[in-house]
Amino acid sequence: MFRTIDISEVEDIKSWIRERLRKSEEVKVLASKYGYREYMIARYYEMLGSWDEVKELLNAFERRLKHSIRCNTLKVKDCRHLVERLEKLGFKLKEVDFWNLAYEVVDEVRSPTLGSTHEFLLGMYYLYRGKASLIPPLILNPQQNDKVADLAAAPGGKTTHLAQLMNNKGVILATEVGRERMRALRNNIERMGVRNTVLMRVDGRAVKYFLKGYFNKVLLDAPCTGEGLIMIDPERKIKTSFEDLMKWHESQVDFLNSAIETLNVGGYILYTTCSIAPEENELVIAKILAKRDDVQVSTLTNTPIELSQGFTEYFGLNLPKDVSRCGRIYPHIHEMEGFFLCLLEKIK
Amino acid sequence: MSIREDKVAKEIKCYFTTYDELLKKTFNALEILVASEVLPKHTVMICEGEFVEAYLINEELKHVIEAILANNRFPYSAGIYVGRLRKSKPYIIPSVDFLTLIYELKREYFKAVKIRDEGLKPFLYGKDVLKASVTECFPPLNNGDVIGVIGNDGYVYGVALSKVSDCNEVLKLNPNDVVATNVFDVGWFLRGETRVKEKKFKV
Repeated sequence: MFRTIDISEVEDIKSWIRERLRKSEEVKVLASKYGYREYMIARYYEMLGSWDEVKELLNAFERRLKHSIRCNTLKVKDCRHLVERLEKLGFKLKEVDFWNLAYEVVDEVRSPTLGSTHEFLLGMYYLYRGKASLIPPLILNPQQNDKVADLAAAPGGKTTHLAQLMNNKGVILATEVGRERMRALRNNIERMGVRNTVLMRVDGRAVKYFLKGYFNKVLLDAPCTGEGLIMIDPERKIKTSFEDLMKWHESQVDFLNSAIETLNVGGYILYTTCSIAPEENELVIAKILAKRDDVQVSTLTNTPIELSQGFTEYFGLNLPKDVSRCGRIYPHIHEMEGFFLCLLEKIK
Repeated sequence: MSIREDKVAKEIKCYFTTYDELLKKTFNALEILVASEVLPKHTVMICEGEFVEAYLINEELKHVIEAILANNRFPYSAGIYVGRLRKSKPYIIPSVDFLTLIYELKREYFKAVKIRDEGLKPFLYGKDVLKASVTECFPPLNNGDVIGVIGNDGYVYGVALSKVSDCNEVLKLNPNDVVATNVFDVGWFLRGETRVKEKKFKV
């Protein structure tokens, strides 16, 4: 057993974790069997606490996800009309259990593909590789008069969803720094009939220089390793070294810290990643809470599904207890891609 | 941690202007005239870079854009994308979303042709609109203007350069004659034509 220590007392988190990564036979066997880097398996044991559950997670990552679509009410007055059109083409749809404007595609046809139907091209729906991406906008729950920033917005699934929830009213500033990713974002904005949005090709961390304290809701779907998307992209089993993971961690802390500056007092920022790595999630939140006294972790309301709690202890590091209010989505529990969500309120 | 800055910023200029100015630039394009009637409170924003593009902006968006411009930055796009402005005919290439909106608000089609499903598929592969595909014509059409291309379901699927001077002229054409050449259609991005080069457009 390792001793535990408050995270704020540890200067070098990277070394702390690395020294404690288990190098057991089970780690080696599972890493080899499923094709992962060993450090990832060691972390999964630390997170889940039993080898049986680690195996459940690894098996869930082997299963393919069904596509989901979101009916775009900015373009479609009655979603039954969209369902009828797609069913005529041979698709079989089932309403997603947590939101009645989204559908899981239970049966697909070879041609046309879901990304090439006339209905898709007309912006009648947005296509998702997994349904977890539907959840952040529902939790942020923007209203028609809100001022919203989406600070890493491409390709636009969440931006267009926010606009739909706002009925094209209010304001969204959507930023993206990558040229090609911005083109995809703009295309989706126009395709989906979004008209309440300013797109800006800029690093989201720079927004604080010209719209400090302006927004009452901010979505930061932070660039991440994508460790929750292994069932979509199995390359991610080996793509990220532990060193790189910790670089992502530093960058995410920096991004979230800047993003908070764009928020007005009383406003909320939803920090999300498509990763299940605590280094990109709870440890980022813990660092922010240690750095600043103007934000607090809020209870996640409007959660359309029951989320697993955020960790308050990781490799002997004690995290602030409020971090348990953050939410996790696990492939083996929720049958979706892995995701992390944490709502922070700016209190002064 | 360094923040990546957009190096293109200096090459683009965005400014607010009026419908009158936009009408002047487009030689009184009917779609702009209609927009000024159905969306009178919007401000026109023009961004000049590699291309000249026009947008319609409401007051809330204007406030955000002013803050961006005051910081010597510029928006990539905003509000309702009206389309691309040109110095020679056609003076405007309206966007699909803009036409969709003003047809909806005006509650009628104009400067457009409706095409049957058999013609829609090739159009979405970048092909031109042939006489055999056209089921309805909505005046006024002018040779060299960019017009809306509407599917049988009433949705706008793209824009095309008219080769005829009025709807009656369409009736006189042979089935395989071109009524309008494809300028942009909703399948454009899907085909991987993401380079927004004007030479890619047939105008």
